[in-house]
Amino acid sequence: MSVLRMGVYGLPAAETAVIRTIVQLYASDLSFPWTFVTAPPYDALLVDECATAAERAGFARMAGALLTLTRRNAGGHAHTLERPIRADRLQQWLKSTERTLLAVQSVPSGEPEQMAPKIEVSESVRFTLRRWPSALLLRNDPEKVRMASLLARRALSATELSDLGELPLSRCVIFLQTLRSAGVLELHVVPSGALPHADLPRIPGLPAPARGAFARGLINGIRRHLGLATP
Amino acid sequence: MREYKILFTGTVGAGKTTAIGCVSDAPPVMTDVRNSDTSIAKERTTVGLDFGELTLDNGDRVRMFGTPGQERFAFLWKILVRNALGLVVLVDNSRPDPLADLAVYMTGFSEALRTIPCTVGVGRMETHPVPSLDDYAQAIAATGRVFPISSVDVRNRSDVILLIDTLLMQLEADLGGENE
Repeated sequence: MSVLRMGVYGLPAAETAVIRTIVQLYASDLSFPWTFVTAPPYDALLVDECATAAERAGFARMAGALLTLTRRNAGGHAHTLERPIRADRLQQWLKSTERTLLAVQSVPSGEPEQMAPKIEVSESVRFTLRRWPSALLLRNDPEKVRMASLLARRALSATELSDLGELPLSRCVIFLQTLRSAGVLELHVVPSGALPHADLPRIPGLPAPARGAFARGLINGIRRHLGLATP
Repeated sequence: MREYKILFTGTVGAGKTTAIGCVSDAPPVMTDVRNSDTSIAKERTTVGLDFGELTLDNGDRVRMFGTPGQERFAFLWKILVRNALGLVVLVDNSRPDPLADLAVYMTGFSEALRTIPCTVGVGRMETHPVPSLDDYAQAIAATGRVFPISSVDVRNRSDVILLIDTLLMQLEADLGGENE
């Protein structure tokens, strides 16, 4: 089961601590997928009723679901939680949000052939990003961030993405499909007989000091030093 | 032994020196002085350049320079960025107009950004979630560029390493072309 991220905004420290504790306590049950986070991306965000309309519009873009914490006896509208905070009501809302989010996520993954656009695995078909993907799509997943960083820089085939990212081809293809569904992927088809990267948009390469055979050694050296995985 | 550099830039108080200190082998050398700019509520600020470094297994060194944040030092940015492996732009989301802050650095480094990798780290999002990361992505895409964007706590080593990793991945992408 994938982890779902819940955060809060604009709540007093004491209420934030209560929410964090409730989520942590429920998380001892392995079937409870929520974790409390302090920075985006959020799958669910609990905000105080004092948030302005502009703030709410911003929250709606960054979180899959919004829950508003209101005063006591505020009317119990949908997606609101009345003070004082009750753990069972928060859990109920998280469960319902979890079902909604998982249903949305399962549409493309359940029927990939029909729902997701096909990604051709060929040296003649390359991909770049039109823009950096949404935080909800990347979910701070280091593998996805690495793949997106490669595609931000230059047009790559699915195989090249797999080789450079040191990741299984199948995972790269799924990620490319997700990017394409989100409308942030640009496709480039290389005419047969043409050089693979000729006429493709490509940002100029490494600066002079790093160019050459030792460049890969340099990158791997930095990665080792920082404790990052190296090939 | 060869020397390389990674440049950290961003507004005053965005945490350039802290970020460098998080990953540097030794405490960063600092050139902070008492702030005389009354428009900025900060006691001390960087007027020269701060740096930390990584010494690799083979003796090569990667120096991490933090630029002075204030726009009046923009003439230094162009000098510092020469031959850099990459640029890390740190934005403080608690400032009045962080998207405008980002635009200052996108413009100030525009020439270098045609060639070198860049990544954007947005700080203090836990207290100031707006503008969102998607707003930043949209603003950068509007300039015809695509750079990695992530939320960052500059005191958190793993957050700073993730920023550097996104630079390294862009360098890796360039290597794919070098090998052809």
